[in-house]
Amino acid sequence: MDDLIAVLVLVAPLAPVVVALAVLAGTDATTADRIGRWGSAAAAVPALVLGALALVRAGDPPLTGSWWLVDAPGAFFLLTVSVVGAASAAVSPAWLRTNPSSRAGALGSRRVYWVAFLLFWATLVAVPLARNLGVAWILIEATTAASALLVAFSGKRSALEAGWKYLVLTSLGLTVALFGIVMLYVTAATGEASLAILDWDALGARAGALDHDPALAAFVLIVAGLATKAGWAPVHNWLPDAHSEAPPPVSALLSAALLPAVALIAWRLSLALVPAVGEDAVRMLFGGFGLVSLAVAVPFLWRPLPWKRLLAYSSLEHMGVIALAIAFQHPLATAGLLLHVLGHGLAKSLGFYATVPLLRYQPSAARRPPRGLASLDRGLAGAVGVSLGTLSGLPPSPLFLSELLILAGGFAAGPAWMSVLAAALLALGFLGMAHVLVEGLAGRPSGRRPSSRRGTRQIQVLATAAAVALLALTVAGYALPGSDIVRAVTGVA
Amino acid sequence: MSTALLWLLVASGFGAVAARRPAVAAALVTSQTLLLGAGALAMTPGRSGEFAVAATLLMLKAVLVTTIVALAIRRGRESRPHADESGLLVRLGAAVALVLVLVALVPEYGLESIAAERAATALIATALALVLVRRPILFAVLAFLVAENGIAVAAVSVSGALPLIVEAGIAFDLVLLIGVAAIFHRRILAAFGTTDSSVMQGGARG
Repeated sequence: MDDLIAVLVLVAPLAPVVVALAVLAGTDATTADRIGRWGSAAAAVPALVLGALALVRAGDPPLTGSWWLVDAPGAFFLLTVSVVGAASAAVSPAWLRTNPSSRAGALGSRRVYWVAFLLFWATLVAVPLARNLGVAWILIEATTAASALLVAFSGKRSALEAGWKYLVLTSLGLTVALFGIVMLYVTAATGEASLAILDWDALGARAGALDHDPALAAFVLIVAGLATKAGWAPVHNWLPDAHSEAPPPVSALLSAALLPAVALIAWRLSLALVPAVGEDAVRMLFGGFGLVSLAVAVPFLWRPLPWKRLLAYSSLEHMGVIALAIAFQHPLATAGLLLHVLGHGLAKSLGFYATVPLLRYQPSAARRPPRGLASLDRGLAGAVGVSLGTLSGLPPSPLFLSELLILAGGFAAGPAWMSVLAAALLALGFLGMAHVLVEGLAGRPSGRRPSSRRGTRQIQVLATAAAVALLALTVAGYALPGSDIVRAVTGVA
Repeated sequence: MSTALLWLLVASGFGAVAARRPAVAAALVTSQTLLLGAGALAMTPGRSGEFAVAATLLMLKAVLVTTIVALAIRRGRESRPHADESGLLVRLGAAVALVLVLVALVPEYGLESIAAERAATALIATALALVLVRRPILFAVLAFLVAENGIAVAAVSVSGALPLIVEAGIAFDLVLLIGVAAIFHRRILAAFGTTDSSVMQGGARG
């Protein structure tokens, strides 16, 4: 099995690159779409198998290579990235067909879209596999170029502004993180120039001997820099605009795959450096980002926002929950974190995919919240209902269980005020989202009914698959606390 | 790296904050990048082969980035003047304050000289100041460069140097980002008729 894993580690990130090259060979827009869609479905298989194998061997020590690491926590993120990537590729042709082509013409614009999309996805697949902080930084920075072009893909002024803001803020943030990495390298180096100094296990092994002040300064700079890319408030300013303006399949990839993947790197760093910087520093830094993110997001969840902008602020809320789970450093919170990443990924991407038919049949959703979808189309209403119900944390969604686990971990780890505040903010967020859910499904309808089932068939299939997967995740979530997977991260049974 | 050269690098960063015209600021920052590359090359005698390759890479990156910025400026002449920016003293004052605060906050972390540590931190702070106080979007691109130059100062002042693969990765990412930023610069100018970032604020409200 180990040999197979070593092969899959190389194949998984390369497969989308091969599909990108194949798209370039397409002779017309329809062919390019077909290659992109079905090629992506095939390209997701190695990553899915790799993720599944990593979970199967969760009780064993992580498997490592020159630059890569296959472990159970990374597997959750890898599975999320590969499922969301393949689903986004499946939805992309429907969005591309309804949007005007750029000056490059239909085929030219398809090539730009698919190549940028697939390179962005390929880099994201590699992030959870990175064994080394330096390599992880290079991969995260490499996602910026392709994803910034995708955010601005429509060419509208607002999209250009959103793409530019995303490019500048995240790049500057990552530069600050890089400064922290150089500082950490210098602090941890013992004379030889070796990339291995920044390996997660090497950092963990040396952490106890590092000078506290430079290690803490480096840690703060790296996490603060990564926070700009992970969308943690108060350095989240690019997030609402980029999620609103990007094509819906790209918004799904940004929200459900990119943000958690960056959070994973911050999490791995905190696990490695706890002996150097202390548990309190980790708790205060990540707890601060988590609570500020929740506090910034919740008021927006109460406002009548356009559909995609509402989902963007929901991403801010859920990234805040993930930051809190990292802050608490408790086995229950760790179980909640892993469950949250998968559950949020499925529900959020479904919400973004629903945008494609939603804007076709209820164009007003581009300016205000959706209304009365149950009487407009049941398939679309089902997708919006499953997405919003899950994101609000309504039982029996996995996010209800994950948030409960994270709060329980927070109360067990302390300080209690942090968990009390988080619980209050989550309750307020739930009420805001629940209101949108009720209005969205049962309010006064507007727009036009689909003339045939064909227009909403795809979203209906995706909603059904997501609902089944989310319920299965809830059931599996009950077994997560105390499992080998959580034990592998925390070292506690 | 000599203290005089480090001072020159920091001074060119302040010069970019002060410069009225984007082209002058670009000339200062690209000179800073080239100067840093030359400084790194001058340090190669007596160092490892890996350091020599990294220094060459730094110089190559400087030449590539200078070319991209020059092309962006040449193709991006603006028809509309920018709105009044904050005054020279305000800009410089903000940059100096940011530099002093950051230099005071960052503890010693073990580079070959304290001067290199301070210069690296000062350049990162200058980059943040450039983004905060300057409106033309070209300054955001220049800010990447100044910040990356700060990191390069730290990287060449590490005993034994950073691993080559990290240097190469950083250089690749930077060139890619500057390339994408140049594309945005052109498209924003075409869409808005200006590269004044204050004109864009509030446009993205999906």
